[in-house]
Parts: sequence; structure tokens; C-alpha cells
Amino acid sequence: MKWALCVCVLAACLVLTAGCGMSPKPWQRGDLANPRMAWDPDPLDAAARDHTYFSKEAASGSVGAGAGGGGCGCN
Amino acid sequence: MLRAAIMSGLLSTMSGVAIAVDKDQPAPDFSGEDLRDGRPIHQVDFSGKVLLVDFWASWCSPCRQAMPRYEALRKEFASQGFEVIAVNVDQHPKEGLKALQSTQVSFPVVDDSEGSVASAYDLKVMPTSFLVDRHGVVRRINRGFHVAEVEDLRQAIAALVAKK
Repeated sequence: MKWALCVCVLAACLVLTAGCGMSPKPWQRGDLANPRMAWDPDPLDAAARDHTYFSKEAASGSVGAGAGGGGCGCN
Repeated sequence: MLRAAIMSGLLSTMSGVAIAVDKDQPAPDFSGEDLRDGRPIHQVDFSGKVLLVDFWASWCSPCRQAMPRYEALRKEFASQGFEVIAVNVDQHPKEGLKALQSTQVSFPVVDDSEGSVASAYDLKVMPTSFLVDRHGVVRRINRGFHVAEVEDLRQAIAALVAKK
């Protein structure tokens, strides 16, 4: 009985993990290639956001070494 | 029961494994429908011809750069028994169809939205094209597309069509 349970658990693990580690095939990347899927769809907007973030956070010393700005965004 | 459980586990783990198509190996046969008009296309209908089987998608920029070049090669060598079969792997065939409106080609374009042909050829990168000789053997595999390599491909086609 015990070994049957072990076999069932092992089989269940094998089946459940069968799909793990399978990346999309090269021909399945159409949806991933969609611009809407990009981490930063608009590079200019992302750069502006980064600048604002850095300016605000550097003022409190949490980004980079020490206080990097007054928080106004004017370097 | 133990044996059956282990076998089923192994089989389910190996279900995604495909045999890679390599140089000097027979090209897998395939059939499908033309993306533009649904006309049936069978690879065997082109037996005896030198074939360039080109896998492309609308979202793949180098694939679309390659298409006009392959069209030019087809025009150059068609009379000597050369044909191009493009295999569109767009998961949404409408997107492939839309791309064909801006890049018009005269060769057959197989709809492979399910990926069965791509899977049979076990593509590693997009784009990939396979140059197949008159006997159905893969003689050259072009992974990626570089304009500088078109002349090499042209010479390879010229050499293959010269052989009877």
C-alpha cells in the first residue's frame, strides 16, 4: 500500500513537472514579440520616468552613493 | 503498475522532444493550405525540384527582409527547376496575410499557424530556410538572414540546379 502511494506521488510529480523548463519554441514567439509585451514599450517615456525616479530617490540617499540631487530633477 | 507509471512519466516528459533536421538528411514531407487562398500544397508535388523551404513570420523582421531576395532567386532559377515554399508560422494567420500585402511574393506560402511543419523541421531560430536538392535531401541550412550571405545561397542553388 505504501509503495503504491509512493508510485502515485512520483507519477503525479513527473506529470506535473513535465512542462517545467519548456521555453516557447522560436516559431511561438509572435505574441511575445508584440510591442505591447515589451517591458518598456516607449523608451523615451521610460528614460524620463527613470530620471524622475533617480532625482527623487537620490535626494533621500536611497539611490547611488549618498545624496545625488535636490529632488528637482535638474542636474 | 510501477513500470506503467514510470513509462507514462517518461513519455510525458519527452513529449516535446523532436528530431532535428540536419544537413544531408531527408527533408520532412509536409502539406498544408496556402495562406492566401486555401489552395492545398503538398511538398511531394515539388519532388524533382530544388526547393528552398523558408520559415517566416510577420513579427520577424529579418524574415521579411529575406522574402524579396528569395523572390528574386526564384525568378532567376525557376526555369531550371527551382522553387521556394514559404511556411508562415504566425499564430494568427491574419497577421501573416497582412504582411503579404506589403511583401508580395509569387511562391506558395503554407499556413502553419499550428506549428506542425516548424516542429517537424525543429527550428532553432527564426528565420531558418532549408535548401533541399532534387532528391529531397537537405543540402544547406540558413539560420538567420544576412544580406551578405545571399550570394553564397545563390551559388549553392546554381550548383544544385545544375545537377540532374
